[in-house]
Amino acid sequence: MTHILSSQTIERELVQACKRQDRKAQEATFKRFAGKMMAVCKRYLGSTPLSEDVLMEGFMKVFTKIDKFQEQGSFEGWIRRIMVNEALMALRKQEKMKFQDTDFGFEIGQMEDAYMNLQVEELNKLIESLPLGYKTVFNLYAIEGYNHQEIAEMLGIQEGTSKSQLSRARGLLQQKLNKLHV
Amino acid sequence: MKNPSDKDWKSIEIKWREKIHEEISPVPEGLWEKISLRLDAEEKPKVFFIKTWQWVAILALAIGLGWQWLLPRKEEVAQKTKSTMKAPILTALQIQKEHTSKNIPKEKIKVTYVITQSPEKVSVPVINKTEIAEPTRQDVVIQQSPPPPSNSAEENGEEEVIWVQVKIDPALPADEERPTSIGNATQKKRNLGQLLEKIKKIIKGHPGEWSEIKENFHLVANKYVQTEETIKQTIQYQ
Repeated sequence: MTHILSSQTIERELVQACKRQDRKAQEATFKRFAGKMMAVCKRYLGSTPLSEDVLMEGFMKVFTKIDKFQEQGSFEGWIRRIMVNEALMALRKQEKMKFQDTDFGFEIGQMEDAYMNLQVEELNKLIESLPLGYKTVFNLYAIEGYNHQEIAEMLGIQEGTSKSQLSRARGLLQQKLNKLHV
Repeated sequence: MKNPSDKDWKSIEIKWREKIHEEISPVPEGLWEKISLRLDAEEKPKVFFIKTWQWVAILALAIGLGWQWLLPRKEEVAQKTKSTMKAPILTALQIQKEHTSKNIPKEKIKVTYVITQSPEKVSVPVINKTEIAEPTRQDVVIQQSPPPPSNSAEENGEEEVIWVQVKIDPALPADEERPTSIGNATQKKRNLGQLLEKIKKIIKGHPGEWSEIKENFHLVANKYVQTEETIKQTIQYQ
């Protein structure tokens, strides 16, 4: 509890200092969150130089738009949302993201509890192996926690498309997991 | 009712989310330095904007103060000129009265004003006047001489015309208030210096002085209006 409180206090102070464009506070913020945000960028864009560019653009936005942060939610969550949006923008620029709306549904069976104990590296490999459209929707829904309506708005697609992409992503993941654990 | 497998997936996804959110990837070297440089570059236009705005304010203030400082001087010169003019007018009026008492018609008295020397930058045009305004003071050098533009009037048997030439030296003090006016000008210069100092302080980040500057703006505006009215009155008077 004490740890959480002190962490919140530090974040609040960082935010206040960043709002004053204090360069040292900005550096501290960068050092505190850059590693986690790099992981976010890599999950959407892979280990490419583009991830680095997006991380930089994301932090530029964080520091220049910090006045818009209302301090109601967590600072990390706000930064993460910025990174996700930047990553999606980069994907849109590349025009690689395609969403096929054909629904020849996978049979999604019961999930085993063992899947819960997968290591992060394994999880990342599995998600990385998904087609870009599936991967993006799965990341947004399962990992970031957006709902289908929000995803549809973010990607400029129908809510139904988002649902079907998630369903197909889950089906593929289950297939891969079953292969891994047989 | 939701699919049981969907429920399974949700609970698994929550676990995965927790793990993935804690993941840390190595950050490339020198990324912060790049961001810092870009932040510096982005801040510059902002500073420029503020500086431009401040310079505009300073310029406006300087014009206002310059107006306030210069106009009274012009007014002062105008008053001096007016008083140097009025003094010979007084003498000319006396001469005119004398001649009137000698039954010489008013039309026959011609008054010419000539500026004798101008050691100061003031330039006053030569005025030819027959109509005489109200008399005032006599703190100007007046030399009365009758230099007739043509000496053939008597010879030609024409009627006598009396010529009065008034020489004016504008360099002489117009009135007793002049030294005080110069003192005021020095004081104003000093005030301007102080004001510029305050503006510098504001630029350096002392917003407290701003209200004082604003008051000065109002004072300048009031002074401007006051001066304008004085000029109007002077013009009407002349």
